Parts: sequence; C-alpha cells; structure tokens
Amino acid sequence: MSGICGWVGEAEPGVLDAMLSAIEYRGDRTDTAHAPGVALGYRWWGGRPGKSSGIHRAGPHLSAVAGTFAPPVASPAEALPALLAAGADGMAGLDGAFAGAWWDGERRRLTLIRDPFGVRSLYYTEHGGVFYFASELKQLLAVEGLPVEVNPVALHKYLTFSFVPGEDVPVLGIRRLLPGRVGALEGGRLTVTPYFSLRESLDPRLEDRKTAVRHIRSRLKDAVARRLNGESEVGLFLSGGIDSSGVALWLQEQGVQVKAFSLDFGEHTTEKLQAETVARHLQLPLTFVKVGGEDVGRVLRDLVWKLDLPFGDPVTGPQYLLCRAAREAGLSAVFNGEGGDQLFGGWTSKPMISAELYADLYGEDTREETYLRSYHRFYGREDELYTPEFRARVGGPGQRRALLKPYLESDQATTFLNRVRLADISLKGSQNILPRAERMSNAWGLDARVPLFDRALAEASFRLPPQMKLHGATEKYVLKLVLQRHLPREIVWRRKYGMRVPVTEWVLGPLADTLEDLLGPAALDRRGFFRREYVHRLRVGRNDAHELRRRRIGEKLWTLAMLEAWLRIFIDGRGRRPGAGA
Amino acid sequence: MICIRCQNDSKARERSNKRCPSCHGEFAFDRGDAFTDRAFQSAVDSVSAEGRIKWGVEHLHYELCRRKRRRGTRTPMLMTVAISLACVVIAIKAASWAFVLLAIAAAVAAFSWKWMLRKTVLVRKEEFEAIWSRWVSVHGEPKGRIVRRERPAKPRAAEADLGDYSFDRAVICDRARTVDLLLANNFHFENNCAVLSIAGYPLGPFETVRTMLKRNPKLQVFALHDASADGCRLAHRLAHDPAWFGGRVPVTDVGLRPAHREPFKGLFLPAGGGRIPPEDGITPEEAAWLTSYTLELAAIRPEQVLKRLFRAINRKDTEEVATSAGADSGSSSGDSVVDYDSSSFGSDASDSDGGADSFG
Repeated sequence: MSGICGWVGEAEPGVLDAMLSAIEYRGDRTDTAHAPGVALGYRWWGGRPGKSSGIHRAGPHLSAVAGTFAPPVASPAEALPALLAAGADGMAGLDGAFAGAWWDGERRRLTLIRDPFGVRSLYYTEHGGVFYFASELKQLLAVEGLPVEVNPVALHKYLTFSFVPGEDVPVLGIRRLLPGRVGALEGGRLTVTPYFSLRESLDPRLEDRKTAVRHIRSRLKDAVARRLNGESEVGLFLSGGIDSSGVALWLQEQGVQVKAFSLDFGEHTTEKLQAETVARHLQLPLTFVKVGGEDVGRVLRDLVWKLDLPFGDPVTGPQYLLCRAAREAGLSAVFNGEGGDQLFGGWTSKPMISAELYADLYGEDTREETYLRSYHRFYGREDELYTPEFRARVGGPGQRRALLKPYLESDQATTFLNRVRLADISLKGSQNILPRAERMSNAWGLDARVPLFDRALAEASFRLPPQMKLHGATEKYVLKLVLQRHLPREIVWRRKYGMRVPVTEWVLGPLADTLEDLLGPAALDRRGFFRREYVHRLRVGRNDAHELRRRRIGEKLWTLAMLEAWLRIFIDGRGRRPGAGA
Repeated sequence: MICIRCQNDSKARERSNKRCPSCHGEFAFDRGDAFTDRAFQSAVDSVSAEGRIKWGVEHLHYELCRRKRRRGTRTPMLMTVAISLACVVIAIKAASWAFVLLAIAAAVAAFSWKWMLRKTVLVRKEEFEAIWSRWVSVHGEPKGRIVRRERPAKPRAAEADLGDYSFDRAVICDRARTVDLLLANNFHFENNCAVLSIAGYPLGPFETVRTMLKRNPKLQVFALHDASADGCRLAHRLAHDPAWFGGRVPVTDVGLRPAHREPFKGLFLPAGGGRIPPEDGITPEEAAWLTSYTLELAAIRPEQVLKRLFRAINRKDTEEVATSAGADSGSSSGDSVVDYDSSSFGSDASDSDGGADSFG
C-alpha cells in the first residue's frame, strides 16, 4: 500500500498528478508538495496505522515515505529526515518495508532510501534535465515524452533468473535503487551507498543447541511483533510448511486474531493436508482458495500490470487470487512465511554443496554458472531460444555471473553455506520474492508483512554456526528445533515438498489459447526475440532433453508468456492500465 | 552419399579421394564401409539428444550397434514370401501336401528374415575403435563427449564447511564411467544426490562424500549397475558392508538385472567367468543367465539412464510419503535392507516425468 514519486528540476506540475494517477490502486488519498525545482507526491490508504498521513513539511524540508518502519512509528515521513541526517548511526537499526524521499531545501539535496531487504521499490531516471523518481515503473512511464525503449540486456537477465536482477530494468534509461541503499542527489549527481549489508560473524556460544534455539526464538518473536501496527486481526498465507506455520504461532502469541488462507490446486495440490493439520492444531480459521488455469487466465493482464516488472514465477497468479480472497474477507494486512529458506538454508544449499564437491571434474561450470542453472530457465539455451538479432543485442558475456560474484565469492563470509545464503537473500529474496509479494498484496490494497526478512533476525542467522541451518541433510534445522514443541512432529520434521503450481498442466491445457496469443508464431515473429522452433517444441509438451521434471515445460513457457504480456503493456502501451485506452 | 558439411548428395564416381565434389570436405566413410557419415552423425545426435546430454564413447558404440542392420536384405525376404505364395497356389491347384509344407517352410523363412532385420548386432570393440578413430581424424571430436579433466587450470579454494553436511540420497555405481555420466550431466545437482563408484571414484571427493552420507539417517541409497555378477551383488554389498551402509539404511537396486534384458537382445556380452552361485542377492534364475552373459548399462541411451534413475528416485519419494501416511511400505525381497525396483528400468515403464521413450 502507498507509493511516492517526485522530481528534481523543472518539470510540468501536471506530471506529478499523472504519476500519482498511475498507482490509484495504492491508496484513496494523495498529497503533493512543491518547492522551487522540486516536487513530491504521496498516495496512501487513509485510516491505516503506521503510515504517514501525508507529506511531512518542516521549513525547507519535505519528506515522504511509502510503507512502514519496523517497529512502527506514527509518521515515518516525519521520522525519516532525522534518521538520514544522523548518517550511519541513524540507519544502524532501520528496518521495515519502506521507500522514502527527503528533500533538504537548505542543501538542495534529495535523499532516497529503500528498506534493507527490498520489500518496497524505488526507480529513477533522468529526462530533459529533470531527475524523476517513483515507487513504480509505470509512474515513470507516465512522464510525458519519456522515451520507452526495451532494454535487451535486462531481458537477457530476466530469461536466466525469471526476474530482473540488479539496477537495470527492462526500460532503457530507468534504474532502480537496490535494497539497503541510500542515494543522494546533489548538484545533479546521484551517489548511491549501502547502509545495510549482511556479514557472517559466527558466535561460538551458538554452537550450543539450547542457546541457539533461545537466541533465534526471541528474534523470531520480535520480528513478528515489530510488524504489527495495532491490528486486532490479520491474514496469513499458510502453506503447511514450517515458516508460515511458525509465523501463525508467533502472531497468536501476540494476541492477534489470524485468518489463514491456503491454495487449492485441485488434484495437483501438494500440501493441503499439512495446511489443514496446522490450522487445526493452532485453531485457525482456514480458507482454501481454489485456483485453476482458467482463473489465472482471466486476471492475467491486470496481474502483469500490477506486478510492474516481469516476474516469471508462476506463483504470482495464485498469489494474486489469494490476496483477492484476503481482501474480500475484510483484511488490510497479510503476513507470510517468506524468507525462511533464504535465511536458514533451504532450497539451493544442498544442490550447491553437491555441485561444489564435484566441481572441476570435467572442467565446465564455475560456481556462478552452477547457481545460474539452479533457476532452470534459459541459461545455456540462448542459442536455441534467441533469434540472432536478439542475441546480438543482449550484451557481452559475464554480466550475469558478475551479479553473483559479490556473494558467492564474498569475503564477508567464511563458509560456503553462508556465501550461498548471501546470494539467495540478495537475489532471489530481495529482488524476486519480496517485491512480487508486495505488489500482489498492493494489487488488492493489502499491506504485505514479511517478518522473516527482519534485519535483526537476519543478522542473528549469520552468527549461527552453519550446521545449525543445514544439519546433515536437514534444512532450517534451528527453525525446526524452535518449533518442534509447538507444532505436530509430522509438520516440523517432514521432508519439504514445496508448493508446486501446476503450470505445465495450465499452459498446455486451459491457457493454451492465451499462449497462442502471446507465443504463437505470429506473436513471436512480430516481437522478433525468440525462435519459433524452440517455443513450439515446448508448446507441444516436449521438454528439453536434459530436464528431468515435466514442470520445467510450464515454467519456461510461463516465463516467456509473462514477458510478452509485460512488453505489450509496458513497452507497447507505456504502462497504461490494460483496457484503459490511450 | 550425403556430405554432412554441405548436404550435397554425390555418387561414388563423382568423389575422388573420399572428398565431396561440392565443398571438397573429406568423408570419414565411403561405399563399402559399415556406416555413412550421415548415419554416424545421426548416431551422435541420438546419443547426445542433439547436443543436450553428455555421453561417453561406450554409449556411441551401443548406439551404432542398434543402427547396424544386416545389409542388402529385403530381396531374399521378398523372394521367400513370393515362393511361399506360389506354393500355396500350386498346392490348391494340385491338391498336394508337399507344396503345403513347402509354403509353410517359406513363410517361416520370411518371418525369420524379417526378425533378423530388426535385430541389433554387436559391433566388435576393435571395429568400433577403428570407426571412431576414423571419424575423429576427419571430423574432430563430437561435442558433449565426457572427458575427465586431469587437473583443473585453477583449482577452487577448498571450502572448509562442505564436508559438514549431507545428501538426501546417494547413487552408488559399479563403474566409474556410470559415475561420469551422472556427474557430467549434473544429476547430483538436480537431485541433491551423492554419486560414487563402489571402487572409490571419483578419488578426490570420495572419502569426504562417503563420510557425509553417514550424517543422514534417512538417506536413500540406489545401486545402479550392469547386469553382471558383480553388478547384481552391488546392492547386497552396499547394504551389509560396514564401510558402506552396514544395515543402517535400506538400499534400492534399480538395475540392471537379468530381468531387464529383453529389449537388449543382440547386445549381451559373454560373461567370461565361471559358474555364478545364487547368493548375495542373486536368484538361481539370475545366476543361470549371469553365468553365460552380461549386459552393460551403457547399452541404454544416456538420456534414458538419467530419466529412469530419476523415476526410481521419484518412486522412492512417493513410497516414503505413503509410508508416512500409514500405507504399506512397498516391495520386499526377503532381504530387509535391499529393495528391488524392477520397473524403473523396465521396458514397460509408464509415461511420467522420467519419460517413456524407448531405450534405444
């Protein structure tokens, strides 16, 4: 919920209204402030605690914050200038889900800031001598006369990761502030510096299991408590795994009523039984939201528009429908359990360890290349997918590996496991899971609360001996120890299946016509990026020979389909709401 | 003969020095050889799944065996069919039993010939090596062949904590070359899987990995091997040898065993040893066959080995879920720590994520 925008320079005052209008679904109230050579806009929902109730004005100072701090303050916009003015000390404990802007009229300096893990986004560009910034990409595209041209280098990264990592976005000339960064614009020059980064600092006291459990349990509880803004009832997306189940438990301990929502994919549902078990155990009201391919097809254009950037994970459609159900249930805030895998060693840890142990036997992949393959999109398949014309525009080699090197080769960690954790948190967590969760929640006027991406908790996780995260082959070990007395044993210690969206069944079945529109030969020829033969092979259900899992067909097709849908709305249509007309 | 470089189709009299008259590129093979360049290239494409799967020369050897048919062959079969029909006509007109018997004999000959046409024929090792070496000298090494690296150009810094963890599962093979196939195709990465040979390959990480396996009390272990006497004893040995799993975790034998032999007729090798006793997981029926023959895992295309092994892992996962939900724990062999999965590498395996393409 909520969004900001503004500029520094000489721009048409009406542009601010256009930028605020582009995100009407982010609030029912707006505020604007102008000073010589600067303008600030803010949109928010009234009557929601923890949010600023307007732009803060203090003499020559203007400040606006979209989102909330953790712990919450009455007006983040009012608090922000003092925190930024105090420099490193002021930002030392800064946490929450926010993007803020402070105009210091005395020094004629604009300062932009994003929360530590990137729940909230902030984009910027320069056009006609004016520096524009905004919470969403579509707000910048509303700036009249701004050239809107696709950035093939960013698309190339998207096709590897299934999301767009790094500072570039798929529109040339527009960049984004990365999470945990502060940017200062002074004299026409933007300087970006990190105010938050994770580093390993192993604490030998935490080798003792009981001490580790106590340490992590208290931080988990604090992380949840810090994200409550006085609500008496909140929603929770319950998967049946331990992360969301733990959040449910700690919310209950805070005395908050919790309404749980879970996905039902019919015969393809993998964790329904587990979600029911947890809900029964904690006595939570649980609503299953039925989601089929047809349901996602019906909302596809609005989904893509509200995602703002292309996201190729098929979970976004179900998330959109889950959020709609939560909104219809009268809720304004929803919690989720995202972050447990990134912080405590799920998913990529074991495959990466396995690859590292056998590295160099046949002289092929580097550590970075192995990690890129873990996304299971088009890394290594570019010659089959890309047309020669598109291939020539995606830039030189090494740019994707360069995104990973600071983490996978980091000297901020002494252990391999924690290096992989850094990569997972910084890329998949901060640039994929969090922004897409925030946008799906905002699509329905909900505030997304992601308590496991908590600064103190994350720092604590990097003090833990790595074996407390991955114990033998048991992932998230410490989390399981924390929860084993509070949840059924079969929930805590079972092998993880993961929520599997039946996307292959959808794209080859009920969404086949949608796929024909987006990825049929005519559409492919018109766009000119992808080869017909390769896409056709996937569309008739033929997997790449090296892929063992059938779901990869759907994941790949969905990634391509979402991209084409995004290109139509954001490049061809300049980010205007689909069906809204020119 | 078609040139694989320029696709020009030329006749023998148009070629000189085995060179294409259009692009002047050299042919590896010519008239009278067992294969054409195009047939060999097609075999490489099949074995590598058109460049997407890494493979070994042993896989190419078997691929060529599948392609080598008895040549010049249709005419005799058609002649015997014609003789058979003629005999039937004469038998009817002359009412002679002799012609009826002759017709039956001719029909049997025709069907036998047809059967032989379909049969794979083992290309002798020396013959294959000559063909392979000729191909490499003319066209170079095909892409995707698994080549072990003697020494990395720049070894990675050892990560001290790597040995502190474990795996979800392990595949133990009777041959180092099978380990190569799985590792080079990232099977370990895709399935969080240790891959080792019983004899200690790959040497570098072997002991580290084997020690790591002991850190998972719920480890799934799969034995993957040739249908040979040693191969068929592998699961039993892994399950009972204290240096391996010593009864701590069950071992699933996924094959190959003699029961898998049906689709591979013509590719059996002579066993070459003495009588195989029916013990250590080998049944009397298996012992009888193994005394005479062996069947190498390399006879299966690499893509199918990977997919069928993946299917075996999926089956085990499904069984575990069913067991945790209170269902029966599945098959039993009489040996409480060895399961025999005869279907994942069976020719009648159903369509699934593992794919149901033919072996060959």
